Amino acid sequence: MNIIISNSAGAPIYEQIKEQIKNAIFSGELTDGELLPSIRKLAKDLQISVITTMRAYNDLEQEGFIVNVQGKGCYVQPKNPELLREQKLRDVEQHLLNAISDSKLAKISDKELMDMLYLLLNEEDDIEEGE
Amino acid sequence: MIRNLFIFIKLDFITLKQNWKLYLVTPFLAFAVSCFFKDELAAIYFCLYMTMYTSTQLFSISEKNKLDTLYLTLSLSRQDVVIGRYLFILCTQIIASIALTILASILQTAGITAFGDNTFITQLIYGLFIISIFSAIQIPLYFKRGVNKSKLIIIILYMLPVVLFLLSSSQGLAIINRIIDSITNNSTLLIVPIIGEFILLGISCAVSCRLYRSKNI
Amino acid sequence: MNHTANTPNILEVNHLSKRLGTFALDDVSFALPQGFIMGFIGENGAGKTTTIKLMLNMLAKDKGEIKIFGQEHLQYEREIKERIGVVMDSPYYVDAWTMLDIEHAVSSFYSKWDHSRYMNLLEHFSLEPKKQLKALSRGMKMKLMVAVALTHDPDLLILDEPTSGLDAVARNELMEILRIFMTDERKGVLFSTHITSDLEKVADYITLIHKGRILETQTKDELLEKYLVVKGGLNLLTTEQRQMLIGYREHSVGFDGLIDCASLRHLPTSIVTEPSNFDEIMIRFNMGGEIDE
Repeated sequence: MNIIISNSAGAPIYEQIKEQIKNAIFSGELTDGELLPSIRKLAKDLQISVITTMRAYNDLEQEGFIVNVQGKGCYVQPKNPELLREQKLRDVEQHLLNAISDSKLAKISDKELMDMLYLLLNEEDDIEEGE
Repeated sequence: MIRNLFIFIKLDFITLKQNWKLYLVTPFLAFAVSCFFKDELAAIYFCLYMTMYTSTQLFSISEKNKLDTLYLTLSLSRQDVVIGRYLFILCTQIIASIALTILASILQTAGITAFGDNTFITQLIYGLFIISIFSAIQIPLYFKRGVNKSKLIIIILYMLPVVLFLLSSSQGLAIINRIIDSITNNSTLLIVPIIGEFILLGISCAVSCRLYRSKNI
Repeated sequence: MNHTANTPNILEVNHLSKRLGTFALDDVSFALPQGFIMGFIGENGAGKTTTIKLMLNMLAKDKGEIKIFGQEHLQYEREIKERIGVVMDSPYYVDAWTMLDIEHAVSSFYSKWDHSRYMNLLEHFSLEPKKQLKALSRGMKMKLMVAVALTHDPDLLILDEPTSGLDAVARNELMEILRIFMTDERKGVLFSTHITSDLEKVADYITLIHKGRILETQTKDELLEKYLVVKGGLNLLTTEQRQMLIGYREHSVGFDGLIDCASLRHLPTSIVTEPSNFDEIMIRFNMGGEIDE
């Protein structure tokens, strides 16, 4: 697994770490029950504070993605499909809300927005069919 | 804790590492001096002066290289530093005494000097007592103010007996000489300067502890 | 999995006060939990070295309490000092000593001194054991001090401005050493410096001292999130609003300053905000209000 953080990305570093680990879990790059790098080793490798990596792992455990076994380290929780779907639903909802708010600012009408959405969805379908 | 005191003495010896060559030469110089004067007394005072020079050098090197900071990063309390330093000074005196005793035996066996054992021991013990008086005053000064700032006072300290000597009348000197003779000829009294030295250095050590405890480093 | 909740403090300073001539440390308090690095920052003369000297009993405190490894620092002075490694900005050894002499001088004081570890460290730092201290460059002297400090496997490292006068490469090397040291969660590091870029990457906690007083002591992330740089046009702020800014600076085409996030809501929403960094925080606290024509 690779984790690449950017100091100028805008998102706080612990968020970036969380995102990348979650994506690695979703994509299967991190398998169920796999051992994650220790908090301290990760901090040392990324050259960041141990508290930042702690916070990322803490959040991931609270959100149910990983589990901390005392004395051994952090392991990937077996994928809970419900949990994943819920997480992604929340993400999609947020992105849509952002799109709606931006459209309002640019005075784009609801109909224009819906048309855009259908167009993009069709494009995606075309691309998928073409593969 | 006692163990750390011995380690500290070892540290003091290592601090004087750059002077080792000088100390190797000292016995030979002492030997040469005795041969020249056909008298062990000169060697005694030469060697004892070297022990005083050694302790001054030690404080001087320590000051120049900020060793006070070093001591306080090691597992030593300030009291350990002071007691350890006094023990080091005692060690130098013991070493000097052993070296002088060997030297005296060589000189007497070789027939270069004619004094009996008695006089040598007496001279040595009173010599040690006299330098202890100087050390007892000097060392607390060094602990509190360092070698540099104490230079003036030390010079006055060493000049004092010379000035007193010059200022005394011949009558006064004669009386003092008689007293000295009677004391030094009585060998049972030898225990007095020995105990006296330890008492002097003991008091000096206590004073140094107090002074060093409040020193800002 | 909150690691910091129950970790003991490896170092604790409570209401420490000391007067030294015209300078005074006033009611200094902070704590470093086990397993973390604390950056101790402040401008020159702010009181960093004084605080460290008080910890090591090089100066006598007027008031307050210092605990290291949970033990009162004077009562358990000897036990504590066996377990700490100290690095200052210049070596405190006889300059005629070689690196082997240094080992002979100090190794017996530490029960955990390991000769082979010392040799390995010297080799790692490219230091010749038989070279004299006075023949070393500034950077090599720092590495030597670190080598000596690390050889007896200390639990707490105290560094007082170890990187002043060093180039970025040497400073980075020291940071890497500290990172490796901190992979053991029972250790701790207190690192005082006025070169704040050293800490940006490696510090977990930051304590900011200014004119003998602690201004802030918290995690690095929280500190950087707490303060923002704000900028705006002239006359954007009322006098009251201006007084909320730290290090307010007004110039011919606008103003800038630092604000505590909690106070941000009192300012107009059109104000421009930017994340801050340690330098900015330190500089702003050192400034009064300034007007540049």
